[in-house]
Amino acid sequence: MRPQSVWIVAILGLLFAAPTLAQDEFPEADAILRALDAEMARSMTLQLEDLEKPYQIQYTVDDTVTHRMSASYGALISSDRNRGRTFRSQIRVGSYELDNTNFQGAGGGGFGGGRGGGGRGPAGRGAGGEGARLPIDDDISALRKAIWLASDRDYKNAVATLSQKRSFMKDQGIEDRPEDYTKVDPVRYFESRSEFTFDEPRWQERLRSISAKFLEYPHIVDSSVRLQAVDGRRYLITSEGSRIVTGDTQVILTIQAVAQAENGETIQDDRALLAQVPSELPDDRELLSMVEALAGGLARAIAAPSLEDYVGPVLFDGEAAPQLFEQLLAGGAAAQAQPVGAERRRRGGSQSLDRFMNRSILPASFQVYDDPRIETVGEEPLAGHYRFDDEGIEAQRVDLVVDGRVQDLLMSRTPAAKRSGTNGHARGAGAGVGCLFVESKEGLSDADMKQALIDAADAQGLEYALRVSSIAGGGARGAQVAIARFARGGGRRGGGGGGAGGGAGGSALGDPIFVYKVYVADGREEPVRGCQFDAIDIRDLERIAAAGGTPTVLNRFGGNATSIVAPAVLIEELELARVEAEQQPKPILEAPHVRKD
Amino acid sequence: MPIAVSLLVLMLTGTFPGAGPEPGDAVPETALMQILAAELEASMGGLVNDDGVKPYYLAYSVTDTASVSITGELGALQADLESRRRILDVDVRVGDYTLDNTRNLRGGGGRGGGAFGRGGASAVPLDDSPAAIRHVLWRSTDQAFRAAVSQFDRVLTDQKTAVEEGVSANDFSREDPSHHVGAEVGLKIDAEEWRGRIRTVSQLALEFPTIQNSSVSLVGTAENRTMVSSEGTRLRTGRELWRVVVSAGSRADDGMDLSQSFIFNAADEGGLPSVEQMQTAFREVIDMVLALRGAPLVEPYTGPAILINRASAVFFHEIFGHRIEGHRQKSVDEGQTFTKMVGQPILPEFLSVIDDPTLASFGGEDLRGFYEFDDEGIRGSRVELVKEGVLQTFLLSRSPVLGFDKSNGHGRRESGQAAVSRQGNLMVQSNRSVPFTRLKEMLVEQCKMQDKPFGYLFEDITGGFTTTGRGGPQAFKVLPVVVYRVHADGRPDELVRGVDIVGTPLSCFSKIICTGDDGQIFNGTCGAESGWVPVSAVSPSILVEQIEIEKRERSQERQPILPAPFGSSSSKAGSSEGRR
Repeated sequence: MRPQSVWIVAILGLLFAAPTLAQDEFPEADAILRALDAEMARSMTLQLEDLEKPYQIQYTVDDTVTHRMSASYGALISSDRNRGRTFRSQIRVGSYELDNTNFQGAGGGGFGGGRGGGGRGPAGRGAGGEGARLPIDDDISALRKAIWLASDRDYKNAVATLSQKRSFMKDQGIEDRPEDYTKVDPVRYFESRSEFTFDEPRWQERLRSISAKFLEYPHIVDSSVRLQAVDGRRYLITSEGSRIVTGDTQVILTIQAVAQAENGETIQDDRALLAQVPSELPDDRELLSMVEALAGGLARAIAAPSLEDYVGPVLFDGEAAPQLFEQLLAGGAAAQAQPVGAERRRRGGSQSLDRFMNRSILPASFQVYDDPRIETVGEEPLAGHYRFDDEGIEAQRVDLVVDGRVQDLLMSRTPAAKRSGTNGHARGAGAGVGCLFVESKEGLSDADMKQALIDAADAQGLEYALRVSSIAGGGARGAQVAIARFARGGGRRGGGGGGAGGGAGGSALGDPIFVYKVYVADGREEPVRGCQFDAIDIRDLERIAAAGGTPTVLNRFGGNATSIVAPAVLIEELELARVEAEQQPKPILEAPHVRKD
Repeated sequence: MPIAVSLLVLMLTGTFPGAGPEPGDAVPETALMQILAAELEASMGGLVNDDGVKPYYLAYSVTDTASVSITGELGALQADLESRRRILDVDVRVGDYTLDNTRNLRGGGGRGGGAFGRGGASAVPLDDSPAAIRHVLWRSTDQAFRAAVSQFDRVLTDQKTAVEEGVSANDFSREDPSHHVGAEVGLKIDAEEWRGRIRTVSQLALEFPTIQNSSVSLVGTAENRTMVSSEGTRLRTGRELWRVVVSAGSRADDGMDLSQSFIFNAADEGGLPSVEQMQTAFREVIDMVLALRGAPLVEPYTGPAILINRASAVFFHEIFGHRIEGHRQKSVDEGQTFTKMVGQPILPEFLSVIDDPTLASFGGEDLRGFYEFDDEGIRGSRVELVKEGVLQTFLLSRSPVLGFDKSNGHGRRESGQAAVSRQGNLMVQSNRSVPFTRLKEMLVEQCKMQDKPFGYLFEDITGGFTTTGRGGPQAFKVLPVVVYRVHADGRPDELVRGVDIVGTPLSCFSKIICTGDDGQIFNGTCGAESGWVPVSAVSPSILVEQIEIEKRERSQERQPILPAPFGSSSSKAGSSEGRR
């Protein structure tokens, strides 16, 4: 790999050789920009027979170098480096009023890949094509060739879709439609390449040593430590004149462990750490103590007795608080596009906020807003941060809930029934959350929250109340989706992806993983497990009786990274029922590292 | 990700009788082998379920694969990857050699065995760390053992309830353990040098704007396999597989996708082609695609044809090779074309067929189907399948077929699959052969005899497929890319496109009239129920009295609207650059 690295450095040198590249000074020599510009100019002239030419085109290139490695029990499992350039085009024919997007009729589902696996939502047929891989050399001919063929294919699909959409609308007598795309002012922005060094052998060694720590814990039946470091740049240009080049570097370290209880039930937990550059990650001492805490928490959890059925107050703290809002609120925070030919659908599990417009869904002390411009909370970086959204629109703060009432929704350039105009929240296929903040004016201390929980239980004549500190479900927590080989069945059940949670029992909320009984008499805590929430939905949020003052950050990675930031909340009354987890038998032999042979 | 991972000298040439220590000799065990053996011993000693069931056989195989892949198009690199993985296969058997968890279920459910009693494929640490590797072994073995036990319960129930089939073959052959530690292999190339070569060669396509897709790539793998079994097998074998592929594609004006490629195979980097050889091959491939753009489409046809050696090799691999795989004779779901035909003629009497994985090369060219030991740890051996037209035996893994109790070293698999009998180097031999020019004269004579205006000459084939199951038709299809019409009236041969050969195997064999004396290799990768394995097939050209061809499916895609953004952009459709 040495020669390759040298070569990359040479390219870098070339870029920096130009006099200081201040913002908005686009380097003349940038091969990707030149290829994109040249092909966009040609693609605007695409015309098949007498059909219309494109009225708008957007090209995006993600140029990345990705290092991935994983280690387990002191040894390296894999270590790879991947250089890739992904191209996507959105070609629109017709007009802003009516174009080839927002159509699901004639058997068409959402097609075309947004970001790999990032998923097209229910927004219907978008303008996005299938994408293409670009050459990794800065060679104009080869770059243009790939863009040329992808654009040709996407244009042909676009005109075909538009004609299907028009005849479908004629057949069905559909006339009154919101427009398909919002006009915007072009944006120009150029960010110089930032320093990103990755010392592969050193990280291999660190992963080995951190993962070896798990050898000390007989109850941990599987574990891994993974690292993903991405040095990326994004290019986005539109035929309307936007030209945006931004850096996108990210390092994610994930520590994952599975414990198995005596009855065979497995419980999985993990920690995911985010940083912009590798050097910002915590040092070995801190990482090792994280391993210790992870193993300790799992040891207590597997030793816990099962919970009996429960009705009473529940305190959501730690990551359970942002998880609660993620699963009940985040999925519905975007305005729902209404594709032609599709019945209006709810997003699985969560309910769209537009049904509650101007109505109260939280106590009056609550504010909820999404602001992707915010990079950190305290020391913690936010995965959902971005400067420009996937349509090249500058990120904006959106006040979703003001004094408990729904005021606004997240918007992309695709208008919805009740409103139009983007607010910089295009994420992949549709609009979505970037950094969602839940705040309460109340702001009780941790001790006061616990007392409030005890008081609520006492008032209901209960012996104990419940505190939940982690819930299953939601998106990928780590660099890679959890793959623990032995976590099937037990542990994190329920929950889908992308903020659309959903527990096993028809509840919108995943099953609780870490649950504690808090005794009214003396405040002592006792871990319990094996339970699930009974029917719970967005309306239960109005019954929040108290809120804390310290926010917890929940970062989700994957196609569209998000962050949810929320303080602990106490819900007056919820029902939890006991569940029998699917169980795997304990292994016949003891683990090799505890065996005495 | 260093390029050279502990490289030692290759020894992948020649045949191997007596190479390495004989069974029984002390073999120096590798670190990985010792780790596997230690956990194997612990598992065999300790694995027992509540009913007292223990495994009677346990094997661990770790396949350590380092790979490199560099691809370029139009002078620029498209992909540049290196990776290394170690994958574990666990094979557990409960019951005994006569009846175990791998037995096919008769009362529905078809092929049993398979995944049950196997640990799937798990990633194994790349470092030889006993603690970390044994942890993976432990978890995988436990799962595989449980799966084997519950599958064996189903087998026992099935034995009681389903219809008797008469005498049945055993489930596992008794074999002597293998002991062999071969040299470790690693990838050793100058990647930067190859990046340069690939850029240089691939930029040739810049001159041909009608070639919409092209690529030049280098793909290399170095695979070191370590196997230990409860029977005492201790094996470590290494081999490299290298390929340089040049390919080009275009779309005909009627929407048909046309593509053509040439593959250089090598067993070590020294056997890889020079830049000049790559350029020549790439140019030929491009010329052929351009010629195909202008070639007429065929209509369905039945009549005489020649399959040129490499095309014939694919034909034999598909329609013959897959039908003499031993496990197909055991499953009630299979067509069992040849099961009861041992000792009977199945091919013309002038043809013999062998499968010999011990051959490393043929006519100076490396064979991809070469191996020393199969994936069940049995030494590969030369098997005479058909002698002068008469079926002698089958390709056998350790799953015996009635009348054939021992493996002949053809149990193969891709990591993660259960091994079944597969081909290695399939070789067709003829004692009725004539020079190719004479064979072509005979084709014309056949045309005249059958009153056909023309016959067909199949020069190149990309591959093919066949169905052997009882559920579907016993049919095959091969996918030719370069086909000529040979006119009976002496006009020059005419390149055509859009042809597939279809047929049923038994009738096809009986129509082979004569062969050429021009044996050639088709080096490929064969996919079947045990995954993808490298194979070779060698055959002379064959003259067939009658063959059936059909039109190929084609897309309705149009040509790109705008001209290519490179080359002399005014040139549009097919030129006259094609040649033969």
